[in-house]
Amino acid sequence: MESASATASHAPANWWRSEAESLFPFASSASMEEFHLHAVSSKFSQLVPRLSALRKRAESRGVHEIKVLEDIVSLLFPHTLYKSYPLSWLDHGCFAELTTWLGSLTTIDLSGVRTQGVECIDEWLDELDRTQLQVIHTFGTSGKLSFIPRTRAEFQSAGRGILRCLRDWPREGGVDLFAHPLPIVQPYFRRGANAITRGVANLVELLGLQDKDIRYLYPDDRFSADVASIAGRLRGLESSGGQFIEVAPRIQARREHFAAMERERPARAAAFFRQVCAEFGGKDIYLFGVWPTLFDWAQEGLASGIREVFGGGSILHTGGGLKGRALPENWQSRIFEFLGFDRHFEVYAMSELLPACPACERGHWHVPAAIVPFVLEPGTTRCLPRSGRQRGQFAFFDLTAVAYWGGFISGDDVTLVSPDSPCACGRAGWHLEPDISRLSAREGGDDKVSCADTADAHNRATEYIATAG
Amino acid sequence: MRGAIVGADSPHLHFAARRDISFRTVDLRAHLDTLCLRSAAGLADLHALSFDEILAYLADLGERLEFGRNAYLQEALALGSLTGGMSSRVMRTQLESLSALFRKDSVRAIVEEALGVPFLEGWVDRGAPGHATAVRVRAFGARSVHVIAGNAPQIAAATVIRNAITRSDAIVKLPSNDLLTMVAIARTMIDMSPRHPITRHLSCAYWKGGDEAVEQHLYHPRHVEKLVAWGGAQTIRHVAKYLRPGMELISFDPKSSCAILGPECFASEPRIRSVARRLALDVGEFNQQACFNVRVVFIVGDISRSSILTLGQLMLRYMRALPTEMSDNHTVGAQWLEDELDAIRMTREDQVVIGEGPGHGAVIYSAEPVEYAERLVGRIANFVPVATVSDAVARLGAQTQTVAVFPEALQTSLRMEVALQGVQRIVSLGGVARLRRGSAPQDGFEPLRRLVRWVVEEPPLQPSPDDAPEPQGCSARLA
Repeated sequence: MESASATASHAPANWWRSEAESLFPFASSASMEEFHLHAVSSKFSQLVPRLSALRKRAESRGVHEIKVLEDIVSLLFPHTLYKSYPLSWLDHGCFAELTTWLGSLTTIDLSGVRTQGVECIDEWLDELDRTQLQVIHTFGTSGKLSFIPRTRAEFQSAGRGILRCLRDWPREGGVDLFAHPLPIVQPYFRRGANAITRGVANLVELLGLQDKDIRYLYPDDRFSADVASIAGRLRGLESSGGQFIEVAPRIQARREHFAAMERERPARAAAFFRQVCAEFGGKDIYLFGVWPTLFDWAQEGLASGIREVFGGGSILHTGGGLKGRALPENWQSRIFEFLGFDRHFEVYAMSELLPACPACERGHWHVPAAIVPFVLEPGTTRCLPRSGRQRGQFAFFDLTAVAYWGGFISGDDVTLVSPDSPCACGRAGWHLEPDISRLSAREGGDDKVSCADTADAHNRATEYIATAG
Repeated sequence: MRGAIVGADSPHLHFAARRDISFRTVDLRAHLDTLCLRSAAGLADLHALSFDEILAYLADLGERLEFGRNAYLQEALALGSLTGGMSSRVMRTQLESLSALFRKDSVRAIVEEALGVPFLEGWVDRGAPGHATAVRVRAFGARSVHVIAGNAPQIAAATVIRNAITRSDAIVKLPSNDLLTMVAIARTMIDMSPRHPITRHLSCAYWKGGDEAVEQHLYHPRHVEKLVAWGGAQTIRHVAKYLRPGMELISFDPKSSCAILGPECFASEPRIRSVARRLALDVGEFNQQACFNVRVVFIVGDISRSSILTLGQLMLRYMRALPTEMSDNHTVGAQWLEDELDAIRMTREDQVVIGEGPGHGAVIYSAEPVEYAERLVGRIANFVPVATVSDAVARLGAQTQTVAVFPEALQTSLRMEVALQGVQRIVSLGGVARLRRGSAPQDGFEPLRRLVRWVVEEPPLQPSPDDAPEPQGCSARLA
């Protein structure tokens, strides 16, 4: 298997260095462009023979080489490709077919994957975990999960990247978790196959953390892909006015377990909250959380007279914005007042992207040099000029993807600013303006459930399973 | 609005018809009182008109709606071909067909067949079998809101005609994908006869579906008796939450249509060609915008994949050869569908795509109908092989509007089974777009009979209660 550092001296893994401008290791944007072209062209040559989907696409588009960066645009995969399997395969447990379909999207050989007797998605993902894959699934209100065939090695290199970024990005001084690991507070599931659970699991492994160093809201439970699938389909049914979903027998059997989870959830969350405050009160922590959840915590805590819970050397790792939740004007200061620290590392990220785009002091999202960004005219495959400010459908080539095709068309509507109009924060390279929204399904988006909503969606689905039939 | 154009100096709101096309229109909230008829008695002026006078009005209107001489319709074409799913050429054909719908003889025939003129004009004796006395029945109009679809200009015309015939009041919510066809008809009516009762009982406006400020006022039994909704779940949902006693929902649900081909279709080369020609019409006419266009084609019998794909290739060739007024290469906003076809080409061995894609046309061959079969646009058909006719019929339901069948013998033998399954219209392959009788039931019901209010008047009692003997102790002493 290819390692991430195989490509000459500008290996993606090396780009997160400890110098001041570690996110932009190029002398100029011209040299970055030159490197991007070379790297994209190499990826193309390496992967065409190894990814049948890419090969067929390149043949049908008549693309044989990449002479300029725009040549890659016709080969970018729409994010919806990773959910183009028929739903009936999930309903009828056709995991052999699903594996063949997934096989066309990865260089990893899936011919040995056991599908006989596999009854649900979670089980299927477990079987896939026996290969080098750590497949992640997304959430979709259109009703379908996407499955992205990422490998453990890719997660590990992305994890190293994040850790370097946490250390080097914040101007006021980041946190060096390599040198001084902090306990992790993760108000979420320990196990599961979504980008969050996979990401944190890999960080934990990278940092060599023990159980005593991490607190999960659900340490023994798994964020279930089956439950997430039902959650997504419930939303889809609501908007389309459709009928029923078949719930696999094995999931039905877990109904009682889900029902219990649902009943216990409020008490569980409150207990977790108290436990964490008691255990790590005054200490520095590495906290994962989305703003709306943190705000709810802060309100509850402050109302009980609890403030400045954690040490001032802590760091919050967050993303996903407010996602439509209307919070009062001082929401952020309330959160920091409760937490006791304000150092935060906010990113624009998605399951399809390995590296994340950190926010600068101006609130702009900086595109790491490992990503070649494009904007398209929404709902088309026409590339807008790669200069100045352009609003449109965000598409990219992720050079850190090794065993799958890093070229994607996302469902996001963004404003991309080229290096020739540098961000006022002083950092070089491409950046995105703060305002990012979802495109309508018609324009190539879909109404994704954001990280901030996933817990909700999961809970609603457990409710459905508990009460259905 | 009721014979006048409203709002040039009124506050406006902006909306998007498409990402790059926006429009502005009056903020309806300021005009809700004018828009609504406060009581059903407001329809009385329509009863001063005889049916013949209504026919004469419509006939006059029809002449003025001749596309070549109507600037408003031409404007509707210019905008509609940008915002809607039809090409300019195909939409033009549809707009050109509107005028003929208003002709005296066709409107009269529709009313005679579907309703009965006497019910509109007077109280008709309906004998009750076994009873000496008859009751009298009369059809009255209703105050209605019509949320119309924008994929077929004929819907606007049919709405106006039905409203006039039934002596009803219509407030029409304009669809953003075809804002101006209904407006064109209304403006022509105003130009022709602004104070005529029929003109004054038609209003049309745009508001955003779900706008509570407008809908809470409008969708109330105080103002409206019938809600006529064309559209999908979202439209129905906005409307349905206002339903209560005193309001009736008449819905023209979105439908899907399909074809069933018996194994005889492949019996000979001439036969295959004939089937391909007919399929080309049923898939391609109207650029597959209508609910009666075929999307899924069930192929019955043990037919090889290559024969089925040959039929597909032929169909595409005939489709491309259709006159451009009937069918042409045009799609807007179908990137999602391009992506689905690409996904098949890239990752599936069990499914095949032939042809280029939305607009040019394509055929998807799959063992099951694809998930998005009902949303296929741009002349794309989904060919699905099935073992027996029953397998095909089992996949039909109340959401299937039209089933096109070949050969004829199969159509006759299938019609009971298909009807019991919930289907509303059974035609011969090639005939989906040939709407033969404007009076025929639509979507499983009879629109004209639903749009009127049926009132019963009963004659004096016999024997009269006056003839009964006085019981003891009953007196009516007036103080």
